[in-house]
Order: sequence, then structure tokens, then C-alpha cells
Amino acid sequence: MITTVPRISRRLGRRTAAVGVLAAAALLLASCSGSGTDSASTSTDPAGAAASSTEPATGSTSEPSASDTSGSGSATTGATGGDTSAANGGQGAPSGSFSIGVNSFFLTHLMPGFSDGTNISNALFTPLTRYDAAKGELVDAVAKSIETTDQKNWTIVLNDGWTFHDGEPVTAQSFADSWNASADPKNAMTANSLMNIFAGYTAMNPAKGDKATATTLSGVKVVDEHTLKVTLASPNAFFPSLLASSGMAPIPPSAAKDFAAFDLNPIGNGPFKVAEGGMKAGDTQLVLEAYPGYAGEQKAKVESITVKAYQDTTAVYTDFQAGAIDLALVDGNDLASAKTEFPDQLVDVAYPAVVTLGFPTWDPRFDNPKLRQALSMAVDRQSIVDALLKGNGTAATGLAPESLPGGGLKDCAACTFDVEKAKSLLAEAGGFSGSITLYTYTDPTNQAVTDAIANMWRTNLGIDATTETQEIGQLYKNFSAQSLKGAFVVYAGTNIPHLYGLLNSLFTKGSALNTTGYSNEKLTTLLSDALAASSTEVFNQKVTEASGVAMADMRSVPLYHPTGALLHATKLSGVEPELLGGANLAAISVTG
Amino acid sequence: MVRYVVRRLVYMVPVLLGTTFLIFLAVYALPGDPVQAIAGPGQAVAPAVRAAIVAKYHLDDPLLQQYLAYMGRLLTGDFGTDLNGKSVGALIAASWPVTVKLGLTAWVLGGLLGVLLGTLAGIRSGGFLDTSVLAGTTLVLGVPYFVTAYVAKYVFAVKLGWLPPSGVSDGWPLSYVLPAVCLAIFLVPEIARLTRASVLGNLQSDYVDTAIAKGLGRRTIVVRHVLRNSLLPVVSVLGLSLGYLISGSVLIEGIFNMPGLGFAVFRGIAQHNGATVVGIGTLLILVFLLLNLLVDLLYGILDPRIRLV
Amino acid sequence: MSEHELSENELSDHGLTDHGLTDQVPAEPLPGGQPTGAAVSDRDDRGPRWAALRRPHVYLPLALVLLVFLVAAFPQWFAGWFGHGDPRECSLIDSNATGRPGHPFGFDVQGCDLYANVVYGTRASVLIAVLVVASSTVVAVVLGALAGYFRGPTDSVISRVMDVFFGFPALVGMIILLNTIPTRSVWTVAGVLALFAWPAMTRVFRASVLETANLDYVVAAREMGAGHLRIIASHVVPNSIGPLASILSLSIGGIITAEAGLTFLGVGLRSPAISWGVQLNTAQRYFTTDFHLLLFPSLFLSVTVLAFVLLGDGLRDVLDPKAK
Repeated sequence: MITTVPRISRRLGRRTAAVGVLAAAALLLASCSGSGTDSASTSTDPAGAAASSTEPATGSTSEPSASDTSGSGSATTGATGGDTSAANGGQGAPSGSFSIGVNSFFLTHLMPGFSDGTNISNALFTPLTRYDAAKGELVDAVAKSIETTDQKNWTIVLNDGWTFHDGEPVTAQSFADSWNASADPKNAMTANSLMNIFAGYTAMNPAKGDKATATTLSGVKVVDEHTLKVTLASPNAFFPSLLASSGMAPIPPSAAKDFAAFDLNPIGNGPFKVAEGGMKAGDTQLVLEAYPGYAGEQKAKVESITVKAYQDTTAVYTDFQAGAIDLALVDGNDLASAKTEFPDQLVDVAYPAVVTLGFPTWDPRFDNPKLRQALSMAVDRQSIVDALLKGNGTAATGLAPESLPGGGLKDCAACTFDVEKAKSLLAEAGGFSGSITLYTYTDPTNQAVTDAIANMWRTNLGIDATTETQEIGQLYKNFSAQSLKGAFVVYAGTNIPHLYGLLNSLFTKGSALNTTGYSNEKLTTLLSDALAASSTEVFNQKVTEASGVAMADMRSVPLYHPTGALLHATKLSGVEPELLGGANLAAISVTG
Repeated sequence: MVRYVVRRLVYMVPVLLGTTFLIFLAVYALPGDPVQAIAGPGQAVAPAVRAAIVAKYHLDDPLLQQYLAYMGRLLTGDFGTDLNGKSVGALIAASWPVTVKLGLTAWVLGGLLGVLLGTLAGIRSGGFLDTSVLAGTTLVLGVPYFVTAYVAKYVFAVKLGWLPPSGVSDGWPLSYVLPAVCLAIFLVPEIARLTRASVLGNLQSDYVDTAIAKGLGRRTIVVRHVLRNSLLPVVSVLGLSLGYLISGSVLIEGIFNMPGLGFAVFRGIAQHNGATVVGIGTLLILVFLLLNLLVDLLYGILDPRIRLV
Repeated sequence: MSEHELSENELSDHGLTDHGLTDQVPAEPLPGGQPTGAAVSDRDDRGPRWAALRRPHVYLPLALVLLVFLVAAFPQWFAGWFGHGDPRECSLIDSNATGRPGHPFGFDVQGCDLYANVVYGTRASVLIAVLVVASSTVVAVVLGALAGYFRGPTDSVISRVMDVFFGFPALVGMIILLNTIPTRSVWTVAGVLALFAWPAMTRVFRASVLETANLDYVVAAREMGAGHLRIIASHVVPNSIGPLASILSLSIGGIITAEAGLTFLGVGLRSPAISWGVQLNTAQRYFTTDFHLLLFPSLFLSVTVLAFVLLGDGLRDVLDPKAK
């Protein structure tokens, strides 16, 4: 019970990846909406606010848009991909209500500085830009225009008419206040690291031991009520996408009085507001109400949503079965059950993620590519997906899943299951002495997967293998200390909807998700070349090439790409995922 | 009596200090990094942010200094704030009623059922009822609680839909019945066995023979004399078991998603939230000690031969 | 006690002796003609029908317990009965498959033979239980004897330490402690369980020592100048061990389920360790679809616990001299 780990781990990729920054947004957007690798792949949104892929997990076997339409239904606006969502705005008053089960950390924090990218914070706050899951592109939200000539100096003009839930107007200052609060280390906000794109961040957050020389971001200037001038620390074409993160959302002047109180009872500018009273200590549920004054396109379609927090995520599924909640994100074994029990009430969610098998090359025994290849090829990925994940995932052939732009490559030669080849490679590598410990963090699925891999190594290669679980924090500490004495299975996700994101966070120096401590000059160069590329083709080509380098080095080999699904009551329509699987709450309506 | 109570209360002080220190020590020794735990594993934490958090929560102070500072605040009724910046006192105030309701419901259910079964088994010792009570209670001891809880939840909430599957939003008693029964089930065997033994012993004692000789009815003997005398040892166990039940709520509250103290303390451990764990731990210990005292006092009242000095 | 004044220590004994399901009978009946609160001994042997039932209640569970120990010590003798004795011979193709010839219990999630795994699981579960009970018994006997025999400050210190562990919410304590231990083996899990098991046993033993130490022959031996150590070892301990012995087998049952509980909370043994707790914890996630995963380990665990509990009931009559 009490497995907060899987969801938390899923967040791993999200914020960290925003740290390493990418100038390819423009390219990416082009690649997605135009010549994406896959017509159904629609994700974009580096900052992780709302991106999604509407392609079903088992994309190759079903019509690209089948699940999408079945999910959104014809009753609502979404999936048909009309030019604007004006229809939404024109719809009648919100009606009905429903309840949603979420992991308890979704309700731990509600304000932008602390809570970033959960679908609850996306319902409460609307940033400058927004990722439209239905259309698969980035759209302006509070922003009227975002302009630059050099990707470094930006002028942002705000739309008129946006208000906070208390009626206060949303101004340029509201954004500056939010960003400054997050950037101020004294507030110890988790969105702090998102702010490092701005000029002046290091003056506020100096290296260890140095004194801060500023208390506000010098790169953020309020010109007038509707205009912001932003200077970035370095050119970044991704900036408009990064602005879509709910961590970049505005806060009203009243927030500054007491951030802790505001965090529990925030006044946002999103389609939903927090019902009277907000969260109180010990509360495990929160009621969201439609905000009638919402100025955005995607207004709330229901009167209220009851958000129930769960510590033990297995309770979410039983509650759905018992009819106590109407909407939940399910995966693993629950998803397998749901597929037989509620086959018509599932909307597939492909996570922009990969589960990898990492090797500790700091241990000389593993510093042999042939051995690593043998170990990787002795793993029957398809069996793991079929038997342990109950088909809720795809066996990896490359780093990124097909649903992710740039992904679906077949460049992982070591991902093929071939016992004979593995045996001969092991022999060429001179065998393996001793036993292998395979580590993972406490998560039921991961534990089952490591057990299966250990069994396969034992059966297929005759290597004695055993598994061990560590608390996730402990495991990552051991990664950075390079003190682990065995291979490991970990999850990695990205908030940059491109293969680039996974490559960047898994294989570049300094990334917290680079668990193997890998660094390769060639790969780094290719990635930075990609960012400087003049065309989408060149960008994709460089990234593909970089992926080839990482796959050939086999420090961390992909195992599978997990998928989940949104399980919804029959009375809900318009259920569509955001990045990492949460439902886009404003798109949902209640029928019947 | 008053002197006795005062002395007992005085004795509690070193015990409380010892236990809180132990919890403090254990939380301090938890592997992993509290700052990282707040940010989330694998998240970048800017050095300046880290410094701010460390300074705010005095994470770099020596253990003893942290402990003394904590106890000092505790004496003024301040449970401090957890690493998410939330007040632990408010959390306790909000979670406490859930756990008390759950614990008391389970306690009453388990106690009543246990005494009832035990008495019946004792009176009809050797009979079918006795054997079934023995077998039934033993079987309960042999099934891990989480198995019972999940199966009960699946059957009564999901399949039959009689009761809510989780949470407390339906209030007492509806939301509490299922978890309380699951918790109570583990009290029944002990109470039933104890009551049975106690009833049996009393039935065989001389005064019962005397009463029978005097021509008193069996019912009168059982209710007036045997039961009254037999409940004495049961009372003491029942008293202590309330403490166990409250601590056992860690499991049940998790499975049934109830926002009580056990739920909070488990999350506190997972997040390295020392203030939460120590605060709730201290409270649980205090309750346990007070219950212990109460039981002894009650014992003295029920049994006039015991004089408390 | 004969002065019918109970200090706080004696009073606690009262409650906690009974708590330990022992049959504490005060040395002297208290005035008033009524039995004392503690004189509620479980004299099963007086009821003729119960006595008839009692015989198999001793020998049947004893045989079962011996069998369990045998399985725990030599699982390989039993695991191969159906031809597939290796618990680690697994193939995902058979994941969660139900029984078929050669695999009577079916397969677990990893596609390993469930029967072999359940048989091998006996070892860790029983070993932990025996380790915990053995170590806490030793502690209980030593501390209980010291506290009960010498009383005074020795007793006060020991009793306060016991209070600390009693008051400590055991489960919370175990979760925290096991979280601080990076690797969890049979030994560490047993150690942590023992840490919270000894106080209850010590209390029981101390209570009976308190009583034994006042018996005439002990007093006589003391007056004749025998050394304390000698008196404790040859008179006090043997004559006080009954109540403790009778709760030991009850505790073994409790500890087997507690081990499973710790695994469920994520702080107990973990795969690849093979134990009933690990198996049940996995099964719990699949029980609506693959009930056999839950059924067989539960069955083994229940029968084992049942055997120990029944044996305890039987042994109490045999071992506790006062229950004769």
C-alpha cells in the first residue's frame, strides 16, 4: 500500500528537464504541428503544463485517432481540432459536477511556486501560454503576443479582461510577482529552478557560500499594466513553451502577505476556483468551482469538481469500482483490470517516458560494452510488457516511444531479445564473475520487473542475479555518489515533447536523471548542434544521431515505455489527457 | 489516591522524554536528504534554496540541540511546522478526531464481541460454541490484517456496495464501520480468549459452589457474580488495547484512505517530515501512558481490595 | 501483595500478567473469601468435555508444529514433491497461471512454481518468528528475573525502560527503524521485531518472579545464605517460567503475521527473499483476478499460526504448574 512512489517518480523528468534548456522550441512546434513523425503525435510543451499525446499506447495496432475520439466524444469540442475553441466560450452555463481521485501530493501544494504541472494547478491557474491538448499546439492564454528578435530579449503583451478569482485584474506585475517569489531562495519554492532561465537568477541564487546580490529578477521588467520585458540568461527559443507551465502562472498582490496561507487557499486566474475555505490542515479533498469570470477560451463546463486525494493509489481504483469517484488515472495492474471491467471508459495515455536498465560503469566489471550488450539482449522485453505490465506499455526499440516526436527509432541494437547472441557476447566478454544485484526503488511494478530480469539473467546467461529495492531518495543519492554496486532499473520522463528531452536528461552531464554519470563529447556536441539547427530536418537528424551514440554506448539501455489510461464514469465526456496523464479538467463535461 | 496519581504522572516524564528522544533519533537517522525529499527525488535544488531550507528548519544543528529546541517549543504547545511549511499542530487537530472515532468504534465493537463470545464459550466450555469460538478466533490470528482489509473492502464496498470503500466523507458511522471492523477483528481473539479463561476460572471457584449450594439460579450466578469478577482482567487488557488500536490505525487508515493520525505519521515518515512524526508519536505515547494510568485507576475502583498508594 | 497494597509496579503486573493470558494466582488468597482479580486461572482440565478435546489439542498441533519446523529446515525435501522443486525456476510465460499437473498451486507473477515458493517461504517466516521469540525470551528472563527478584531501584529502571517501549507506538517505531536500515534481511527484520517484543514478555516474567521470590522455599534459601545468582538460577527462574512459556507459542503466531504486515508496509522482507509475507503482499495486488496467489500462502500461514496457538493452549496446561 501507500505507494506514492510511482507518481512521484513520474514527475522526475518534468521539472528537471526544464533546467536544461533548449532553444529548439520553434523547430519543435513546427515539427509537431506540421511534419511530425507521426500524424497523431501532438505533444508540445516543454514546461510540462499540459502537453499530451493523444495517440493510444498501442499506436501501431489501432487507428491513430481512434481512442482520441472515443475519449473526447462528439459531445464536446475537443478532438475534432477545429480552428479555435470559440465554441467552448459560447457554450451554455456550466452544469453538473463530478469527482476525481488523485495522488495526495496533488493537493499538498496549490500555488504556482510550489505546485507545477498537476492538473489541479492547471485548473486553478492559467499562465501566459497554454498547451491545447486537442489541437496539439501551444496557444496564447493570458498573453496577447510574445515577441523576440534574438530569442533572448522578449516583449510580452497581456490580453485585457483577465481577472483573478477575487476580481483583481491580472497584470504584468502579477507575473513578475510570481516569478520573483519563486526565484527568491528564502521562499524555498520548488519552482525556483524553473526561474533559472531569467537573467538575474544567479544574483538571487548564488553558488554555495556566496551572498545574494539581488532580491528580484533583473531580467523581468514591468513596462506597464499589460507589458512585460523579459531578458533571459541565454537565448532560448523554447521560452513561450516554458511559459505554459503552471509554475509560471501569475499571483495576485494579496498572495505576498502569507504564501503558506495562499498555498492552501489560492486565488488563481484559471477556469476553476477553490471553493470557500480552501484546503485546511488534514483535508484530503478539495472542491473546485467553475469561475464564471474566466477570460480564457476553455471555460469550465461543470459547476464543480470534488478532488479526492489518495495516499494509497490502489484505493483509487477500488473507489472507482464502487462508484465513489468518476475519474482517475490508472496504470499497472489496475489498468489491466479496468480493461476487462470498463473497456469503453478508458482514454489511453502514453507517457513521454522510458524505463531504462542502467549499468554502473564505475564498477570495472560493467565497464565492458559486450557484457552490457549481453545482459541487455538476455532480457525478453516483450514478455515483461505482456506478463507483468499486462500489455500496458511497449517494449523499447529505442529511447523514446513512438508517441513522442522524434521517438519510435529502432536504434537500440541491444534491445533485441536474442539468447544465443547474448551467450556468445558474454563468452566474448570473458564471462561474468560473481553475482549481479539489480536495484530499483520501492514501486511494485519496478520490483516485479527487476525480479523478472534477474530471473532471465539466471536462466538465459547462468549469471547469479538478485534484486534489491531502495527508497527512491536513497537510490538517487547513490547514483550521484556512484556508490551503487549493481545494475538498476529506473523510470525517466521528460517535459520536452521530443526525443531530445529524454536524451538531454538521461545522457548529458549535470542532469539529475543522468543516473549512470554518462558523458560523451560527441553526443553533447550533436545536441547543441541540434539546437542551433536551421531547419526541422537538421534538428531531427542531429537528435537522431545523438540517440544513436547513446544507444551504441549502452550505459543505460531502454526497456519499455509505460502507458496508463484515464478511467472515467460514463457520464463524463471530453476526457483528454495532459502531459503525464492527468485529465484536462476544463475540457470535461457531464452528460445525463 | 491523589498521591498515587501524582507519582504516576511524575514517572511519565522520563518515559515521555525517553520515547520522544528515541523517535527523534530514529527520524534523524532516516537515510536520504530531507531537503531533497521536499523537492522530490531527482529534482535540482539550487544551493541558495537548500541553504534557506536548512536554515529555516535548523537541519544542520547537532541532534541534541535540535531535540532540545523542539522540546522547548513543544512545552509551549507548539508542534512546529513540517518541511512543507504546514503547521503540525493544525494537522494533529484535524486528524485526531478521525483516529479517535475509528479507534473507539473498533474498541467498542471488538470489546463487546470479544466479551460476548468469551463469556458464551466459557459458560458452554467444551461445547460446540466453545470450539467454534476457539477455532474462529485462531483463524483470525492467522490471516494478515491487510488481506482481511482488502478482501472486506472488495466484498462489502465494491461488490455489494453496502458501505463506502474509503475516505471519511460519509461521516460516522457509515465511513467508519468497515475499517473499524477490520481493526476490531484483531482485538476479538485476545479478549474472547481472556474472557473465556476468566469465566471458566470463576465458574470453578469456591464461591460459585457456595452460590449454587445457596440455591441461586444459574443466570443470576453468571451475571451477578461470575461476569463481574471475570471482567476485571479483561478491563485492563481492554484499556491497553485502545492504545494499540490507535497505533494500529497506521495500517487501516492507509488502506481505507482515512486522514487520521496514522495516515499522517506514515506520510511523515515517507517524506522525512521529522516534526510530523515526532509530534504525532509523542501524542500517541502520551495517550498510551494516560490510558495505562486510567486502567489502573479503574482497576482499583472495580476491585475494592486494591488500594492505590 | 499480602498487605493488599499495590505499588504502581505491582499494579501494572496485575493488568499485564493477565494481558499475557497467564494464570497468575497470588500466593496467598486475599481476605474476604473471594478470589483475587487475578485468580481467574484457566483450569481447563476440570471440564470433562474440554479435557477430552484437549488431548488432540496438544498432540495434533505439536505434530503440525514439528512438521512446520521440518519444512522450514529442509524445504528441499518437500518442494519437489510434484516434480518442480526449484522456487527460482521461472518463466514469464506462466505468469499467474493456475494449477496444472506438476504445479498443483499454479504459478506466481514471475511464473515460478507457487507450491515450491510457498514451501520455501516457510523458512524465512518461521526463522524470523523463532529468532524473535528466542531473543526476546532471553532478554525477558534476564531482565524479568533481575527486576522481580531485586525489586527496588533495579526494578524501577527496568520498568521505566519497558514503559518507553510499551508506550512507543510499536508499528510506527518499526517503520521508522526499518526505514533507517538500508538492507533488510531476515536478521534485521527479526531484530526490529524483537526490539518491540521483549517488553511484553519481560513484564509477564517479572510478574511471576515477583511472586515466586516470595514463596517460602525461596525465602528459606535466602535465609540459609545461598547466593542470589544461585537462587535465581535454580529456584526462581524454573518456578516462574510457566506463564512465559505458555505465551511463547502464541507469540510465534503473532510474529509470523507481523512479518507479513511489515512487508506489506514496504519495510519488511522484499523479493527476491522468499517468505509468506512477500508472497501475500504481491498477491494482494492481484487477488481479484488471481485468487490462487493469495489463497495458498494464506492457507500455509493460517495453518502454521493455528498450530502454534493451539500448541500454546495445550502447553499452558502442561507447563504452568499452577494450572494443574
